Amino acid sequence: MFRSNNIVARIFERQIRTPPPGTSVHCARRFYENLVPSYTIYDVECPDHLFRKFTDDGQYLICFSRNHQELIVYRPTWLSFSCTEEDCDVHDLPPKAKKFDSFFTQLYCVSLASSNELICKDFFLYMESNRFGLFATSTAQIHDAPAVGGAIQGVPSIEKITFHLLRLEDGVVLDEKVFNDDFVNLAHNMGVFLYDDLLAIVSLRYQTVHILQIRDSGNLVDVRAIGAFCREDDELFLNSNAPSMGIRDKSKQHQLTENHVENGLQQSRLSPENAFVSGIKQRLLSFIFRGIWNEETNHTLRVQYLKKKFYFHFQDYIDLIIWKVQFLDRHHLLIKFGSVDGAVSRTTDHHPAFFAVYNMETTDIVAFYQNNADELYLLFEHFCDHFHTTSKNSLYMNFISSHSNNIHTREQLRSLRNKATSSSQFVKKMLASLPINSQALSPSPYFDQSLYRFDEKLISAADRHRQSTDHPIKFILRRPPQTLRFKIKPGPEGGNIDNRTKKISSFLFHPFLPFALSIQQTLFLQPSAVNVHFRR
Amino acid sequence: MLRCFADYRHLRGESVCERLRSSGLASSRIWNLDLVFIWAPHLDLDLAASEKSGAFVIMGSVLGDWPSYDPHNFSQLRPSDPSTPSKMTPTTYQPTHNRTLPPPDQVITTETKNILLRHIYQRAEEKLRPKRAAPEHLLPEHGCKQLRASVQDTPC
Repeated sequence: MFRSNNIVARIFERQIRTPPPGTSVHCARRFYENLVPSYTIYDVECPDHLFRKFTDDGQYLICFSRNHQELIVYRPTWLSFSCTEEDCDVHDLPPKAKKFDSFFTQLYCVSLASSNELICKDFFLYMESNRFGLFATSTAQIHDAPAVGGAIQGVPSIEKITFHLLRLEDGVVLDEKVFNDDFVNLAHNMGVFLYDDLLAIVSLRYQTVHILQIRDSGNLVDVRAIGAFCREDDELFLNSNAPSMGIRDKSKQHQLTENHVENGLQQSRLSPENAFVSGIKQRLLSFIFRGIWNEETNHTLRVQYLKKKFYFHFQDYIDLIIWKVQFLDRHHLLIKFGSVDGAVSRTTDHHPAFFAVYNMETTDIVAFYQNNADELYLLFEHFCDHFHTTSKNSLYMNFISSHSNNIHTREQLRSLRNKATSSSQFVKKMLASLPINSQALSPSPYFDQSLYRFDEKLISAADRHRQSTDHPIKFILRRPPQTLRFKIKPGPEGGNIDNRTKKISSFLFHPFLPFALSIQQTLFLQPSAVNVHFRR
Repeated sequence: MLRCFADYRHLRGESVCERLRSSGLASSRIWNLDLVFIWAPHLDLDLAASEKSGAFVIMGSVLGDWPSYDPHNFSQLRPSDPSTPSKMTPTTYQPTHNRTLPPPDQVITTETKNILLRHIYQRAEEKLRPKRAAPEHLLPEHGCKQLRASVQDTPC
């Protein structure tokens, strides 16, 4: 839309021209080609905190103390100083520019964790509509915990996990939710998904998905718990009919396991040895059964297929556990199932995994795929944005580059696909990112692939630590004139003296201001070098 | 450039011309004016200047006595009754059948399910129905594009 690269010319053009329909935000974002964080202040004197991230509306910077027990929240301000001379650009910045306080104001410092608990530094969810933040504290992990009370063998246990809901304006703790002797995968928001005001917390140990609602008053309200029971009154129904024998589900043609009279009245959880399959596992098995049954009308062929596809793998299906969950909309969940071994291991490539779409209202499984299913991959390729479900309130979140909304990302995906030697391996690799982590990508327009090109291995919208290099990271314009616009260089100005120690760097970009922090740290708990990149 | 607005409603025809001439409007200076409003609807005035190009004429026509360069421009538009404004009714088309009428209780709303879920449900419905003979499946039921199941095909 703009004919010139000059910012004044663009502003004049903006006055007289309307952008093409539906592209007003894209045209407004093009001004980020002109306003760039090109100036770097190296090694800012900053307090020794762990910097987590900027909130998605840019109002707060979340930090944790080094001892993982306190939360410190800053408000980003801007460096301001006065200069009485005529030409101020010639002058260097005043010495106070090297201080962290010139850029941030501390709002409060709250202690979240008590003596033996630690704040999980990789976990943070932000509810933008009410400016609530969700943090988690946990005690130490106990591996090889005994599987009691309905727990799964092989999953570690944490004595106490607490989720704290804070109002970020003043740091008041509004509500807490405690899980005892449980395990929730907290690293990088993996086990918790926030969709508008609904939270899905996956309890790996007890195989339950807890759905909670965050009310405007700040209360965390239990909505349902999916796992052993699907509907809210299932437990009551089962307990009241405990003496009865026989399978409740009529869609199965024969008995799966022997029935025992369960002492459901005394214990709240079913023990795996002597209970029939219930809850979501039952829904899943009956869905697979009916799918195979409906494939063929001939009865003998049906039975043959069932034997081959269902009963042969029956024990594997029974042993599946819920790994991860995400919302597809307010009523539908995408659940990833896998084996117990893969639940806590880092590399999940070698373990078989399955995806299921579950409707919470009708308690039906709608679809079931294996992790190398071409069908699911096609849906992921065409409708990737619908997997990155975001709150309706934050409009700018719809513009995070993905291969469904950006042609350059789509070209990258296509080239990856053409280079892949085996299509099923490629599909597995792409589907391994499902279900996605909540709030994992930065909405900064500098990561917009249609504005800038940058090395994805060195920096990207995902807030993960990366290997640090001495060379600055270049951001090059996508559109003509395709020049280098700005560079981000982590680490001290002269480069690192000691090249032997491995350094990792992380980058925090402000969601809409031309402002970024780059933090370089060694692995030996030395204080990190923080650089401020901003538009001077 | 001079614009003038004169209210000559109370005057008779010759007096208008007198007034115009006396104020210099009917003289050669009239050609310097870009616009003159003369409101005298009761008069069917025909002030025509002579040799100079751009004759200045007031039309007592459907346009309400507006000045015009060429009196013949709008000669086709004289209705029988110049005092009432003409109502131009465009031609309308009436349908000859009622096949395209919406049902009387139709309410149009946005589909609540997003497109991803719609596709998933569509696939699920196809699978749950027992398979029929092959020819019936060649044409997709909904008449819309179906995603091809194989990754090897390049999407068009």
